[in-house]
This record gives sequence, structure tokens and C-alpha cells, in this order.
Amino acid sequence: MERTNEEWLSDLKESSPRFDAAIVELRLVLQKGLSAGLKKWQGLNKETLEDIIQDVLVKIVPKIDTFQGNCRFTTWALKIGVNTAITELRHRRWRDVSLDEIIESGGMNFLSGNMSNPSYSPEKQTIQHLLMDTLKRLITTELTERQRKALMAVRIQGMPLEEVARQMGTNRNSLYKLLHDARLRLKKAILKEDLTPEDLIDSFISS
Amino acid sequence: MTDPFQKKTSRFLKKLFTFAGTRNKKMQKGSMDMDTIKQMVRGIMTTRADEIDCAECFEQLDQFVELVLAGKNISDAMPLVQHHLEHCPDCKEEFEVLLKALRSIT
Ligand SMILES: [Zn+2]
Repeated sequence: MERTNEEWLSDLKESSPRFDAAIVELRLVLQKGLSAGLKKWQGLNKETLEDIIQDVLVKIVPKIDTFQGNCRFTTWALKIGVNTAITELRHRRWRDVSLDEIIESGGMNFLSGNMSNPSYSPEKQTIQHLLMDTLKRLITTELTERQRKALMAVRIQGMPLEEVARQMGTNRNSLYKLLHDARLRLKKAILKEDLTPEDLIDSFISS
Repeated sequence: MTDPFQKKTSRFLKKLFTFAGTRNKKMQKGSMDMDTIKQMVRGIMTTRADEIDCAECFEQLDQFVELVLAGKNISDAMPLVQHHLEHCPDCKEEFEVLLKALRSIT
């Protein structure tokens, strides 16, 4: 039998006689959900999972009053659980990777490298080269140093925003806004270039 | 394969990904270059002025994921969350894990 949202909320009050039972049940939900959701993630052994679940429970109980009831309580709890778990796993995976090093070895090479698809017609390849040159030029001239760095790390190197943010001394939310601003600038600049959206769609958007 | 282009590409990729253990699966296929660029350009050209940030996305993600599970049309119901997930690899990753997690408990 499943608890309703109201039952979860009242049972998870520390004064409730059903508090311990509710914690046991919530722990089971988190265990089942997180191990299924994170099955493919490296570095998630049983011990790590238990540590993470403990963290999540400690996090959830005091802020139970912030639950707004727009969804099932277990969905809300798992949302926090997934966020906590992935933040930890990302950090473990990326903490020894230096942002500056990978930018130096890779991201900036992108700006001087050249690529095209030999299976495309010569015409299409020419347009693609032109667009690539434009893109590289605009990334170099339109973006600030920080925007360029973040864009290269996230889009070219596949580094999580969260870890890029940590190494750049900011947080994920601010980094998203920084990248959003960078995309807006690039979009405006591309639209000002002498290119038609059809060129872009042809070479990049469609496959 | 002695295609000079391929040679050049693989050298370029090697240089690009000298650090070990990247999570980018696409690069192992050797064709990440154009895909990555395409993704970047698509991301740029579909940018909107009114995007929500990660905190706002997180706030609504539980409702969003329940709509997805119920098979509702999410681009109509919560277009800004949908748009954020298309532009934010971190939130998208969390959404996908949450979806899997919820499917396992229901
Ligand atoms: Zn986000």
C-alpha cells in the first residue's frame, strides 16, 4: 500500500510515531530508483550508493515543508536524490581533470583545426568550410575569454557544467547564464553575416 | 585505410582528446567532429532570449517528468523546461536518470 503525499508529509515529521517506518520506506524507494537510474554510471558501488542515500535523507527531511505538492512526493524525493548522486559522481569523475589543461590541449585546437565531411558534395563542403571559418572567427571575436573557455569545455570536451563552473570559481546556474549569453551573441553575429539560414540548415542542421 | 583526410582527422581527434577517460562516447567512433559542431550550431541557432536557468528547470523537473511518464505533450505543456533540457547537458542527464529511476519504482 502506497502512502499518499499527505501521509508522507505527516509521517516524515520527526515527532511522528511513524517517522522511522517512513524513513525505511523512503530509503527503499531511493535505493531502488537510484540503482536503476544510475546503473550505467561507473564508480557507483553499493557503498557509494549507501553514502549518497544517507546524504539525500539528511537533505530531504529538514526541507520537507518546501515540497509544493505539484507531483508525487516520491518523484520530488527522487529528483533531489538524482541531483545529489550525479553531482557526487560527476565530481569524482572529473575532479582530477584540469580545465585549463584540456582547453589548452583540445578546445583551442578546434579553433585552428579544420574539418569537413568527405562524403558531402564539393559544393556542400565549400559551404561547410565557410561556415566553420565564420563560426571560429565569431567565437574568437564575439565572446569573452570566460565564455569561450566555458563553451569549449562544455560543447567540445563534454565536461559537465557543474565541474567547469567549480573550476572557474562560479556555480552551475551562473555558468548556464554565461553560456546562454554566449549563444545569444553568436546567434546575433551569425545572423548578421552574409549567410542564409538555408546554408546553415543545409550544412549543419539537417544531416 | 590510408585516406589522408581520415589520417588527419584521427590525429586531430587524438590531440583533441589526449586526456584519459572522457565521457564523450561519440569520439570513439571517430566521427564526433561534425556531430559536435552540428550540435553546437543547432544550439546557437535555437537560442531564445527567454530561457530558464538550471535552478528554474530543477524546480519544475518533477512535474515535467510526470507528464512525460503520462505520455503528455510536453512541448505544449512545459516548453521552457523542454527547451532548457535541449540546451543543458547537465540537466538533461539528470532528467534521463530520473526518468529511468521512476520507471523502476512504478
Ligand atoms: Zn541546466
